[in-house]
Amino acid sequence: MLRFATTSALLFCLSVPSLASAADPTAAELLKRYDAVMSPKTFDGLMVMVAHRQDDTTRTYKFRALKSQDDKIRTWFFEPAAAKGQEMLRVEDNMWVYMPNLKRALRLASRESFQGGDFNNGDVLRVNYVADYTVKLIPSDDATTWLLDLTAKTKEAAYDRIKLWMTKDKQQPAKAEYYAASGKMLRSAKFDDVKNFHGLERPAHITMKNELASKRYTELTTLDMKLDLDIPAQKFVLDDLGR
Amino acid sequence: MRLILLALRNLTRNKRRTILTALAIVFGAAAIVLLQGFVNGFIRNNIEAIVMSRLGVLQVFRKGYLGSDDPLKKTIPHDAALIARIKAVEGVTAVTPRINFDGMVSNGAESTMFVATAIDPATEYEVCPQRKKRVAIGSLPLSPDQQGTALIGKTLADSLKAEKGSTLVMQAAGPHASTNALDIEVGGFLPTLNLVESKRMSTVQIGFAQELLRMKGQVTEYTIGVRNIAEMNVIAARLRTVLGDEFQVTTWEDLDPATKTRVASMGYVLLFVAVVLFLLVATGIINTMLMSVYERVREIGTMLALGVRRWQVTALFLLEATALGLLSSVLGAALGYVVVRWLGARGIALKPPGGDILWTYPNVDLKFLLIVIGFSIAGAVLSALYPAYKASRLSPVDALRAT
Repeated sequence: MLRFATTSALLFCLSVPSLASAADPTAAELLKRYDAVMSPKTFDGLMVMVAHRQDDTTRTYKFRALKSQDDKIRTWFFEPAAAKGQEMLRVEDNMWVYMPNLKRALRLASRESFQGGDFNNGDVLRVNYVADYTVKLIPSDDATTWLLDLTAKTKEAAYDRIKLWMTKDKQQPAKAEYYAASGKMLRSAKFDDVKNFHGLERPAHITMKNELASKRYTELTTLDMKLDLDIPAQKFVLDDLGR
Repeated sequence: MRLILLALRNLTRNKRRTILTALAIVFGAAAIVLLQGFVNGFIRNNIEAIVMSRLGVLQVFRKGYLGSDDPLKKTIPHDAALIARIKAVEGVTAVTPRINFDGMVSNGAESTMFVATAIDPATEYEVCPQRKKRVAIGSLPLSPDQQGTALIGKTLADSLKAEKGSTLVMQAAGPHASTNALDIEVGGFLPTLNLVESKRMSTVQIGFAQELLRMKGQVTEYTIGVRNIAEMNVIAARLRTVLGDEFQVTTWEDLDPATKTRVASMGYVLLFVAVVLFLLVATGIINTMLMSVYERVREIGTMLALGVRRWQVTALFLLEATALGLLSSVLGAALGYVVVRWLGARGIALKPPGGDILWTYPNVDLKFLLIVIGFSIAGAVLSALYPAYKASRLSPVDALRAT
């Protein structure tokens, strides 16, 4: 009886490929895909972040971000003038910001706001969902997407729970909702403008909306992203900041 | 005895001069008593505003909490056994748990930073009785039955357009990497003592903070009330012995050296003013006594010629000074005391810039009056030493010949 059920289910699947094709990715594969798209193994990117603040002003940051083979990230800020010369470095769970006027690096927490916008430092400098979250697929409200339900593995993850929508056609992130332990939605993100950066297709534009302060949102645009680089390891040590 | 009567009679000979000198002493003594009354009032205000409404006399932290990068990782268990151990220490009257933390608070559209102290209203007011009064006019202190309620600074409330009864969302991370968020109801407002506090401060319940920060069963501090604040260092030492190396015990002076210095510096200001007044009054007395010596040269000569001993002449002038000092300083101290008592009963309203009215109640103890009188007499006698010496050194022959 059981065997019959399994067989017929299998037949059913094969006969209706659009509903559940053999090529359907698993939740784990989709999450791996998210990490690969949003934070490739190595990259050298040029980005612009526009923070829309609650007093209706905006502030624009332009920075370069570099990721090493062994998952370290360093950034250099060019704009605005107030942030010019600042640098950030993440090695494992530690983050620092180098202040040119102090000629010294200060420690950062991953939960703190990235340059006062609505991304956390962790959102920008540490994208490793596979390591931080357990994932399962849940029914999506939108037929063109898969909906992933991410739950923090440890209390050290940036969010307690994330709902992540990924498109079925190109397997690109489309939107996400970030929740606190209490169940409150803290932020939501929209990913769009998928572009090809030196062979990697990924969203070039992310809008992060602060759900608790609706006047605030921040846009992060990738202008360029070079891949598969061989970057010297000494660029990712604390002593190199400011040089 | 005859000398004393003679001295008193001599004081009445030039009434105008005696009264003027006496007035200087009366004024000096009254001014010092009044100033001390104000200083005591300010010190009491400071102690009440800082120690009895916020810091508590003594505090217990996990070693390394103060000055830590991530203080919420240095917690103490919130447990009855530990509280009982602290309470058993001689001199401790009450113990209450606290969590200090910060985060973002928002009204849905806007958000801003806040700094919060989480308290347990069931025991808090035993340690910091003045915290009950530390609310804006029209607001009530937190009570144990309102878990999700906060008192927030008025400026903070205004910036979020929050009123009494509004619901805000507090976000904070606690010792973890991820932020948590919880609804909180505005139960009332904190008094506006200064703008920085009014813009950032809030008071919440300890249970709310433990849920928001995900710190169930943990606190960052025990605040301790003692029988007598003057014994705080002795009690702190006892606590250190009982609790051992895991904990750090501090006094309010360790946490707020600025207030400690302010209290001490008021004492220095008082001392300086006292010295200046003392010198002015002393010069007056020296002048008066010298005048009366010169006026009475012939009289002194007569006394000496009649066989009055030189030490008796010295004593006569010293007694005159003593009588003058005693009578006028008692009068001055009494006058000052009456004014201080009157102001103390009435209170003086001060308005710090940007803050609500702060009432100051001058007060002074009787011991201080005795000190003032003692110093006035000593000063009068010291000032009279030289004129008296001069009088006793006169040669009777020359003195009698003088016009």
